[in-house]
Amino acid sequence: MKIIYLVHQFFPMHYTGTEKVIFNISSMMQKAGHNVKVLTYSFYEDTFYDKTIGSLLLRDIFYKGIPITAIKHKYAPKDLNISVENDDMKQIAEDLIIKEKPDIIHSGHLMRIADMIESVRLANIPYVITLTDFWLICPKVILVNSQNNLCPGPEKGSICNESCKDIDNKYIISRLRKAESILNNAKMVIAPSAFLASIFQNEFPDLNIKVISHGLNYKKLIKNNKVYKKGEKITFCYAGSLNPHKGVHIILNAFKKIKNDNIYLDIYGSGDNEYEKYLKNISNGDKRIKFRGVFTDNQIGEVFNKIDILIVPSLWYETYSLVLHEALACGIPVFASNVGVMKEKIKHNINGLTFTIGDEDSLKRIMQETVSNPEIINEWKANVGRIYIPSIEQEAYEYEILYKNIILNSL
Amino acid sequence: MNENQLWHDIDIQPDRLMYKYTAWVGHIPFAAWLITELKPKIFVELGTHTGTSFMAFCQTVKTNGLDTSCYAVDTWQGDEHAGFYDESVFEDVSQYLQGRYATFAQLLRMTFDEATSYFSDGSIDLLHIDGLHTYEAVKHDFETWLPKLSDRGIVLFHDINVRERNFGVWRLWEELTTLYPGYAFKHSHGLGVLLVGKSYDKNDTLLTKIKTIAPLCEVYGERLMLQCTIKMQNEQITNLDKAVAERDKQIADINQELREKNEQIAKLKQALVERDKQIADVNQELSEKNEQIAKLKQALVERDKQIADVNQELSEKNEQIAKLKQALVERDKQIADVNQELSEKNEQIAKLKQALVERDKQIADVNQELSEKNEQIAKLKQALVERDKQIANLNQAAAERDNRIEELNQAVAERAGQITNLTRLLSDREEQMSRLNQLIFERDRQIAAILNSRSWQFSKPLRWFGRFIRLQKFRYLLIISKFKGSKFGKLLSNLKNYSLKVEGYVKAYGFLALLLKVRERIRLKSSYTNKNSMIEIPKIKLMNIKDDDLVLYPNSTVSVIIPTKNAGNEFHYLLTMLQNQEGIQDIEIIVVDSGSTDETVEVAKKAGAKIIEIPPESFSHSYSRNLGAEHARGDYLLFMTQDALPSGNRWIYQLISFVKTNDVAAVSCVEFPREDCDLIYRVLLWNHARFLEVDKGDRILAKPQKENSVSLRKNGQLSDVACLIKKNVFQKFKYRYDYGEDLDLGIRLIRDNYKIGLLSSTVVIHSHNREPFYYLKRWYVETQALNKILPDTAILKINCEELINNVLFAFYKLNYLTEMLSTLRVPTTVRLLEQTVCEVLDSPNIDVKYIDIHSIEKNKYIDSNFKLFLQQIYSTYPNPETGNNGLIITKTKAFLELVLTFMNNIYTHVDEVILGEFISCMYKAYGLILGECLAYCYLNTTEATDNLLKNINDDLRKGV
Repeated sequence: MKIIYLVHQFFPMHYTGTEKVIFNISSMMQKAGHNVKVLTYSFYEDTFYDKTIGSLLLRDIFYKGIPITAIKHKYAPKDLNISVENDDMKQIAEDLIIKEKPDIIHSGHLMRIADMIESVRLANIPYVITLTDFWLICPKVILVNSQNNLCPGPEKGSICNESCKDIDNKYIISRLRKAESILNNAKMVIAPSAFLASIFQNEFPDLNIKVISHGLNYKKLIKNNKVYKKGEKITFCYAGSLNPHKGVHIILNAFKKIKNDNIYLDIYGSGDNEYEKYLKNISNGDKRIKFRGVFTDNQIGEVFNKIDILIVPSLWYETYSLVLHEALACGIPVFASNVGVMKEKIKHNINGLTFTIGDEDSLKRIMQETVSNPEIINEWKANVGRIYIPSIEQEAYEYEILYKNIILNSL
Repeated sequence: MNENQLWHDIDIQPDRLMYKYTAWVGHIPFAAWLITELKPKIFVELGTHTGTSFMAFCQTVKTNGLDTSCYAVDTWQGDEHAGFYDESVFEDVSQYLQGRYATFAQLLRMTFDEATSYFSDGSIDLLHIDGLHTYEAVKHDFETWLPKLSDRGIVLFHDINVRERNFGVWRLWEELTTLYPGYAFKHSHGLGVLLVGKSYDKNDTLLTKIKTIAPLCEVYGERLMLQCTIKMQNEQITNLDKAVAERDKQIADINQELREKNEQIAKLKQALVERDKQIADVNQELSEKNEQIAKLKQALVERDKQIADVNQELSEKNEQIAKLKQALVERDKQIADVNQELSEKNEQIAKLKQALVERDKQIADVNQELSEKNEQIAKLKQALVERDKQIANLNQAAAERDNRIEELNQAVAERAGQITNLTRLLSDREEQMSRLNQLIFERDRQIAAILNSRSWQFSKPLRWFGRFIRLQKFRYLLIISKFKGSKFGKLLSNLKNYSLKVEGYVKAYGFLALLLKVRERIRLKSSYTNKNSMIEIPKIKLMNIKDDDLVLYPNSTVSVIIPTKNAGNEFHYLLTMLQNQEGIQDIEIIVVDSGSTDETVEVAKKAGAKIIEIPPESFSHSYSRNLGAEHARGDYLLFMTQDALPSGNRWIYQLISFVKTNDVAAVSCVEFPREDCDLIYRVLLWNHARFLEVDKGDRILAKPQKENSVSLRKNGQLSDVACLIKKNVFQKFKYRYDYGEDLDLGIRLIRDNYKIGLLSSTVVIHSHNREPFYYLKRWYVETQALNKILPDTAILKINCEELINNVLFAFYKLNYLTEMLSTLRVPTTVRLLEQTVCEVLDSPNIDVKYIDIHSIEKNKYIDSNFKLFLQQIYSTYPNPETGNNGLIITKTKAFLELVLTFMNNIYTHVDEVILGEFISCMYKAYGLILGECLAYCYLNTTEATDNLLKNINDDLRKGV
């Protein structure tokens, strides 16, 4: 099979979330004996590119054996990150996609490149879309409105009209219509969690969405088999980007209120410089809190072996949260906000605890309870050990079956 | 008079030249001459008007200093000929006169008739009649004034040449010229000069003078006329200029106004546009507001409904509350009763406690007695232990003596045995020698007989023919090259290739093998696809089981059997996945562990698996699996390896479904690679899938019509990476051998008319990423095992010494190829890769610098075990053959071409990562081929005479 992947940014410059997912899938497809290629938008210096077609700059590169074509506008439109329409992208699809005669197109994210799909559709090439966030129905990507509250969904733009007056409502409505047509014309729409599927299903009730979880690389994970007794010291941990909507400050504030020398807090990750400074300010003076920087995929096993509980205090729904799943796969229970995907995956007192989103006291309470009674962690770990989270090979195999089915049916 | 004077007068420049009234101007030069010539004492003019003629006369008088009194007579009111006019004319004339000629000139403002009384008769010398010009008026004027004229009186008549508007002067003139001498000027309306004085006669000199200067006067008169015209025109011009200037100013003003008006218009238009936009916006807001209102109204209706519902609930709740209150009262009563019982019970308890205290005292006494007894017992036990120890020591000493005696006895026996063996061997050898000598004698005789025989003589032509054939072969090649390119040439070269192939086969496998193969070919249509031996089933749709299709089969409990040794940190995940399988009644996991030193056993225990531990030495692939099967209670057995993973959580269900719906005894499936799978494993998987034809769809395998190694191998596939088999069937066969046990089982099953399934519509996730020495060992073992299981597998005839000689040369050649590949600029194409590989591996020689024993240690693609192995080879055969490609390189090249074909399907370009994988694959392929060739070597020797091979054999079989 010949498969072309579309994505909004990719390795080596970008290496989180969606990029990892698409890299894993495309790499496994190549291993399974298929011909793959990745088309991605990019932000390198203009001099990096060596081809010009129309008003787009292009360059072919490789990353770990995957052939990539990186694209950039000469003069990027102002609404680059929001728009679902762009004539340049429609045109370039002829050269980059149609001429290659792929059997199927798989899109990981349509930001910046959405209109390529239009040409693909007109050429009758089947395509599937994997949803990794809410971008198609929310220009702000994370369904958090201008008042910093969670948004239940656009409801054809009427909610946007009330809560996000900073974007022209007509623009939003036409954007939603275009998104609906893109999704309806896909042979399959896939979401990594039932929650993400449900949000899209609410907005487009006729849409058929399949749930395929993102896989983990089990070769890099090491199970943490620690057993807890009374008085055991507990290390809490946050791992992820340091950005305000991730809610890291909630953990710090909650942690500081607990007066106990037998607990520690490790913060892994990097991100917004201002926000990082702010966090370091909050934690100033508390010797139990350590900022440990970033870690690579190969060090996940090591990191998770040194901690006891992972906290995911996101102030938005999250669409899958790889780190949450990696922790569960390593046998680490998780404390998470009680919304979205986190609510779907973490059942209170089964494989961890949930707390009220954004509420420092709620988090502080559950942290305190755990510290005074560490043996409960053993019960959670036993439950965590029974959970089935697919590996990247299993995820890739599910996609391979999906591709084969679609190609067979369109013949 | 002199001419100058004459000229001067005529050339008069009149001071009063009014260009509006030019009737008389033409006569001014004559007038000036006349008055100077005549020098009249009194000059009278009748009809002065603006005074053009009168002032000309006066000017001349003044200029020439004449002694003339000039009188102008006029009413200054105008008449029908001059036009009527106002006082300004008189005032102007009067003022002009006063300023200049007042000393000698006067204006008489009266009628002509009235003026006659102011002049005595015969006093006027010059009279100018220029009043009303009707015939009657002029005649009257002439007749009235005639007496006043002197003897030298001259009368001038103006307008004698005007014949319009009732002018009648011309008539009078015509009459008078008959009476008196005169001259008539025709220009300027005409002027008649009548010499009425008695002193004049017809030929008077004055008249002659007048006639003489008349043309001159006319000319000068015309000049003056022109002057007037020019003056008039100049005045007109200045007037017009002024008017133009005025108009220009007006135009400029108007243009300015126009500009200002245009600006105003533009501003107003803009304002208009803005207003329109505002109107549009407002309209839109209006429509939106209307929508909102509609929505809110709807919401309101819904809220009302909700309120009604809630109210109803409220009333229901109130009823409930009343009921509950009642129940509460009853409960209170019950509580009072119970409390009373409680107090009675408490009294009982107090009594019992007392009794308890007494009992405790008794127990304390008894315990003390007990402790004393225990001390006694301990002392006695100690004494017993010491006795036992003494006994044990004595026993041991006795045993050691016995052992020594036994050993010595054994040694004696061995020696005796050896002696008998050697004597026997000796006699055998002697026998052999004599037999061989006899054989040699016989053979010599036979050879002589043959050479002398008839058939030998007769077969001379045959031998000659053989030589001839060889010669023809050579010529044949020449012919082919001549016909190269054409169809005939192609046919010839195909024939040549075919015969070479046959020759090669004979050389490799022997003539007997060729005959067998030919016999097969005759029997079978093709040797690679025997369609009759496989029961073709229609292509099964890919397994995509939806939720409601999950049928729970009865009698579908599964026992998973996994032989383990140090299964690593992913083992727990395999167990979790197995326990999360959907769609099967029950699953049990049996782990047969052979000496793991990591947490494999704990992890298995935690997951609830049944654990059977065996010592590492007793491990074999068949023994461990059979042992696991004995402890299994499931209907189905699923044999797996510890590094395999199910492809999803319905995997076992898919395998069982296939077994149930297709009546097969067992089923296995193709492998889907793991994330760290290396290139060679992927190529081997792909190639094997092609060989088994399972890449086209699921297969059901059964006993082939004609059994040979290939058809059996194809149909007996039952890989135990993941193999599901019915327990009752398995128990009839069980595994055997320590390698290839799964293929052996498959072949036995199909030979016994069972069918087995091979699936590609579901997969097991499994792959290897092993070092090159592993491939050497594995192919060494596998080749031998295949030979055991399928005895008619063709064995390559390999000369062991040649092979060993070739090992290092092949290695150096691969190093050379590696260096060439590393110089390729990435990204490069698969084709370029292929070219480089062919170029290097085809050329028979390599640069001497690559033949270097130290390159073994430096090579970063082979593992330390392999390096050790190669160094062992080197110590035995230090001089590798050079300049000969040898079997290893030929086979490696063929394998690499397979790899490149595989890569061509996937990669358009090759980057440094893929290039590295390819080079790594090269060395693994080298190990693989080396292992295979060594195995053939071993199989080719019927006695293990070669020590090196024996050692290698033992080493290589370990740990596979």
